[in-house]
Amino acid sequence: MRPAARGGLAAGAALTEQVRVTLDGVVEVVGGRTEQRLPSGTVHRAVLLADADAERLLHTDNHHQGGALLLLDAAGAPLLALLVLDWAPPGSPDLTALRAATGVDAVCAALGLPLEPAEAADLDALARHSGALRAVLHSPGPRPRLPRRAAWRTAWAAVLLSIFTLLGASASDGGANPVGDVLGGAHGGVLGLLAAVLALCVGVPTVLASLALHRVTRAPAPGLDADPVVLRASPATAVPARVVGHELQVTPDLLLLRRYGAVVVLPGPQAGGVAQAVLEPSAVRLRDADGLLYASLCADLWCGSPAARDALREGLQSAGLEVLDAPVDAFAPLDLVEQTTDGAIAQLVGRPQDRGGVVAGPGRLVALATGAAAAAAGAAYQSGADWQDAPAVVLGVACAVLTVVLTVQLLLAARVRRADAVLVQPGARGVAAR
Amino acid sequence: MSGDGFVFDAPAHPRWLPLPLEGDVDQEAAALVQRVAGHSASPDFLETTTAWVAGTTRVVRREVQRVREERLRPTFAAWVLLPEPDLLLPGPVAFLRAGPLGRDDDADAALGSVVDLVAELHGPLEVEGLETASGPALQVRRRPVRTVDGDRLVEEQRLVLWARPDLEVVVHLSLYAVDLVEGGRAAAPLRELGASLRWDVV
Repeated sequence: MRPAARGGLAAGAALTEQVRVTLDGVVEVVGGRTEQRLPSGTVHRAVLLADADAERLLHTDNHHQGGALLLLDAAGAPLLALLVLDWAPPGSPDLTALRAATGVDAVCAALGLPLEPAEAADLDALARHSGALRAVLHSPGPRPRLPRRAAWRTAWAAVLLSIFTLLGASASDGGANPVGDVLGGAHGGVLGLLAAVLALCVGVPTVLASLALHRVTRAPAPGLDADPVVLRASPATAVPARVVGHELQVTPDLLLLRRYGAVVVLPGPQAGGVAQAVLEPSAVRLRDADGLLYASLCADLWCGSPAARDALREGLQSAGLEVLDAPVDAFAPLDLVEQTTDGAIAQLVGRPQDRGGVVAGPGRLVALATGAAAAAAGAAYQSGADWQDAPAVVLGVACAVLTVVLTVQLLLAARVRRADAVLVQPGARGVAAR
Repeated sequence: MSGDGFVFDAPAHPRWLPLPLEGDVDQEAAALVQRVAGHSASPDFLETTTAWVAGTTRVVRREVQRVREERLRPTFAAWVLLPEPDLLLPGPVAFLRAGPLGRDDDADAALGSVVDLVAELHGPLEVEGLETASGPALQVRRRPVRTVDGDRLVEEQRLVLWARPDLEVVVHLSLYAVDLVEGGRAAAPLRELGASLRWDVV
């Protein structure tokens, strides 16, 4: 099993992480931030949790169709939990195909175990030990630096405390009044310092994550090692620049599909995976010899002209794939990522932490929190007790610096998005290259 | 509906599509699909759906013929399980069949006349009571193991079984799934179909 399409900080994981079963029946989780090994004979049952149960027991952020695969020991204790969609290729149109395409069925077959649906007794037992279940959930890619809901709440708490501090400081100027009495003076100082501490709790991880993302995006994009055939998107009309980087690398064992900066690795023809490319009017379908669909490519983007179509055909054939022509589209729509060229839906690929996000969204909330906290720390210095002066200066300066850094990062990100949206005229892009 | 001295009535169920066991396969399949989806579906959808209904019906009719010839058991009806209410996509098939039962036979004997009780199973044989419109029945789940080319395959059979030694007949609604997850999804719809089924011997 290999990760679903991931970009940013998780692009490397898409290339290296695997869950696999050795010939000896050992379950290995390799290539990620943690590695795990379940000795042969340890796994006694393979159970599929339905969507609603997976969401309830595993506290997943999004509704995951496909549920979760659980490997249980002889006592029914969970050894490993995998959300099926975390390991799904982009093209799976139905749940039965999803199990085959993700490798869930292959893992169970390799273990010699049937995949069983979770039943009432299983759910009761898992609910009683839900902490243990969540502890064995393995999701590919980087872990969130902070729990997202807690980070969101912390950022808003910093904003609110800052507002209270500033209110108290302004009410303290002049005569006595209830607001100034409660929120001004030393009380207000404490609130301001607390606001600054909370803002730093989310601001520092956000900046560090953004810097890590910057390093990753400037590094060479991950690719396959074994001298692949490289096929690039070749639209006939002008498209946003973000589409220009779409690329398919093919080797006998693996395929790498890169779109909108997200990477997914699929099994190749010699690994029992993608063996055929079906050229339809609107799509190019990548599927195995039995017709199992792994990915759909938008024909307008990848082979927008007859010449580009012929070049793509030659490239796919030279890469060892059988190319078939279909006069009608098998179905619509394509997988979600390529329904639009503006990348808005592409942002749904992967997780927020892949893009350096600590709080959901582009980071404006965190910048607001640190900026407000810097002001609150300043108010604490002005109107708080004497002992609050030194920490107010330190925390205030830290928040102010973070605010500047976050603002610059936001502006740079906006510039990148504008650049990605610039239309690029179609040219003689390489369609097949070694 | 009736056949071989057996009459039954099965109310419509949104998850079960009754398959035509008589008449011209293609015409019956087209008429069925038209009745179910003709008011809202495109011609392409109707054509595609009619094709799989006809294909499934042909397979089912061959199975019905085989069971009648080899095991001397009549099949009175067959339904295909839809993945969601009124979503016309193929799924496992449930058969309504009957067989002889001795006046002194009990529920175990009735079950044994329908399934192989000594076959290797994955996990225990599960039997529960079920109240139905045709009287008390048994709800059975078994997971037989088959070895094919060295691979150990575990499949699932679910039954609603009525043992009526007074009528000298065992009637069963039986569904076979090659996949335990698919079998699990069929549990509730099969129970509902069995609970609402009315049958009698005339």
